[in-house]
Amino acid sequence: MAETVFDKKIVLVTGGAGFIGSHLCEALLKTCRVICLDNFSTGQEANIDHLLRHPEFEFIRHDVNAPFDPEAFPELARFKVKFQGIQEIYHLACPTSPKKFEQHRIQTLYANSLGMKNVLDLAVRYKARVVHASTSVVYGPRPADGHLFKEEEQGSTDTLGLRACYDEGKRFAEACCATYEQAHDIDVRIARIFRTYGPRMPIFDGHMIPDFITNALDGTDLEIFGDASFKTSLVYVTDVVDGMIKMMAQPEDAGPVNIGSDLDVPIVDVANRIIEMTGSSSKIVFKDSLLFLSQLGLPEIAKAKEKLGWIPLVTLDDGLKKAIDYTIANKTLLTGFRSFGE
Amino acid sequence: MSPKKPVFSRKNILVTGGAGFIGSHLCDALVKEHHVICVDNFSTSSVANIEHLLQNPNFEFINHDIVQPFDLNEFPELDRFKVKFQGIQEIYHLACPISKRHFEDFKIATVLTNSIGVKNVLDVAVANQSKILYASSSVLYGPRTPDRPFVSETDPCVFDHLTSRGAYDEGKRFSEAILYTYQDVYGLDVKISRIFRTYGPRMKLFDGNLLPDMINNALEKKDIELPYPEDARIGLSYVSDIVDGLIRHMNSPIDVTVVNLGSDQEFLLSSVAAQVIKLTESSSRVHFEPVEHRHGEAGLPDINKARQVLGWLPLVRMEDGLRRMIDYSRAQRQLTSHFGQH
Repeated sequence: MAETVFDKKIVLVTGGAGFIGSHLCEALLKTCRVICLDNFSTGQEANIDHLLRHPEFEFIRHDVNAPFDPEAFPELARFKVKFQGIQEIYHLACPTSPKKFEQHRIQTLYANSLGMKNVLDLAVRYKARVVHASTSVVYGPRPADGHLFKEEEQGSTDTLGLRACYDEGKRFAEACCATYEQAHDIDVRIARIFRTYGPRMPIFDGHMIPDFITNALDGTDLEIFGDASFKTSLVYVTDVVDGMIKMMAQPEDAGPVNIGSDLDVPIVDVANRIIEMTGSSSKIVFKDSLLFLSQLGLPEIAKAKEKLGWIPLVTLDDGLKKAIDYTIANKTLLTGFRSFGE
Repeated sequence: MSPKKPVFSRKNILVTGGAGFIGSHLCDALVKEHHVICVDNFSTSSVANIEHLLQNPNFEFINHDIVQPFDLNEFPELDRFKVKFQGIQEIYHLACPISKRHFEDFKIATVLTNSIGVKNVLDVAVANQSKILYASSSVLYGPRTPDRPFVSETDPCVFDHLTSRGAYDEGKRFSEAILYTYQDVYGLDVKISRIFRTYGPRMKLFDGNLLPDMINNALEKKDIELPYPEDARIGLSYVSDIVDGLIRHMNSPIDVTVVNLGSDQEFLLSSVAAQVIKLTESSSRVHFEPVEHRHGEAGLPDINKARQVLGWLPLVRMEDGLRRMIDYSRAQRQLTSHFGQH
């Protein structure tokens, strides 16, 4: 790296107030200074509230689609970005919302092109290493034969559909990473993240699990968007964060790496387990499936094991328990968002 | 949205990439009946392609890189087309750097053109409520596979987006996704023509294009070296056929979004070379020196949709097309004989 690293690395996290981003900021703060960028399009201020007073944390409210000059922000002066530069960038910013997907479609296109470009331009400027948070959707829908997606799988998504702005956008963002790497000799790593759950997952937004918990605690129906055959892989958020940090730390770029769970779990089982764990009397009901909440495929995770020494560690029971505890602790706060969410 | 603007005498038509190979032929055809605004930055095109149009009162050239936003109201030279009152009725969006030989030099420009560039052109379309036709490409389908010699508009697109060609191939897919999303969000009339291998006058010499180099070598009585096996076959359509297809597509009903344009007939490369030698009365010999092509050739287009919906089919016989191209090459060689030392 070009700049002298002082006592701590400076790390930029785009989308740092989002579900995964906020957990990542938290983990990074143990060893780094963190600049968290978010415009709250689908991230939440509440996710980073507890970090705002941390001396090594600085939040900048900024839309990643607009060029970002860290040296123009007086609040970053204390990090001495001008002298120390930025060593690492985690790029997570992209609107995600199963329920309000449609209203974010143009912003989704921009995040995957303009936003990606702005991040890569910063990486070129500071010779920063980048971990780009990509997604399992680049492989296309869950395959009929049920095979696990390997990183080499070429994938096929529909360029002309309602989901194209996200699915195709994420593929394009990866292609931008590869192109910048080839043209500018920077180091950009691609983490393909599969379905993740845990505390701070947005509520009432179609993500199912956080709503299951809220509904179970309230004694209201748990809604499954789909039928009893809906299965999915689920990885706990701190495992994902751990995978991304391990990916950044590798001396060599191993190419795209899947980060997710290779266990296929019926969503009905998850719902039942939540009812059990909360001692709830709620029932499960089935609703129409959501276009932006598909079953998704499962990852082959041999590469993550081999190259990163990573495997998912948190069991579904432990993860659900933490998510339930979080919901109980923040219930008033969380359900207060109901009016915003709908 | 503003209501459609009245058309005074001629439609105002914007052609981006209008100084390119296909773009300039399109301008030639459109300028007979319409006002043509040709936008190009000559990144891989040539002023020679449109020189004959520059004096035409119905043609206006604007030197602009579409990666930078543009507002056609701000160009005083367009006042005579009454752009402020009449707006733009149709946009043919062809601009994208294309250079087989210098692909590396244009990588970043290519990803930006295929994202920000498309956005900027679409913003012009939204402001003017123009119909927009996008020149997409056969690369989108991925390489030909034995079980799929013909590709139709609904076939899945399968290829690796992280290769050195991702800027172009994935870029074209993302461009389609942007167009589709704008169509849906802003109600634009969007056409996507997927163009297959095209040949004709004004194709660039010495840029890795098969036919112009073949003809040039034949005219110079040099040996023709073909980096393919002897039994290689290629599909080829003549540029005026493609231009005709683009115009028909633009004038088709609103629900005709994606159409393949190309020839569904294949020729033995050796017979194409033999014909070139015959027509140029050359003594060149042909050598086949197969090299491993990292990226397989595209399949042939299934053109039933173009036939049925546009009433289009390729008409120009290979011999006639080659003859016209040879005539053009002869004339060019006289004009630019000082470049003949390549």
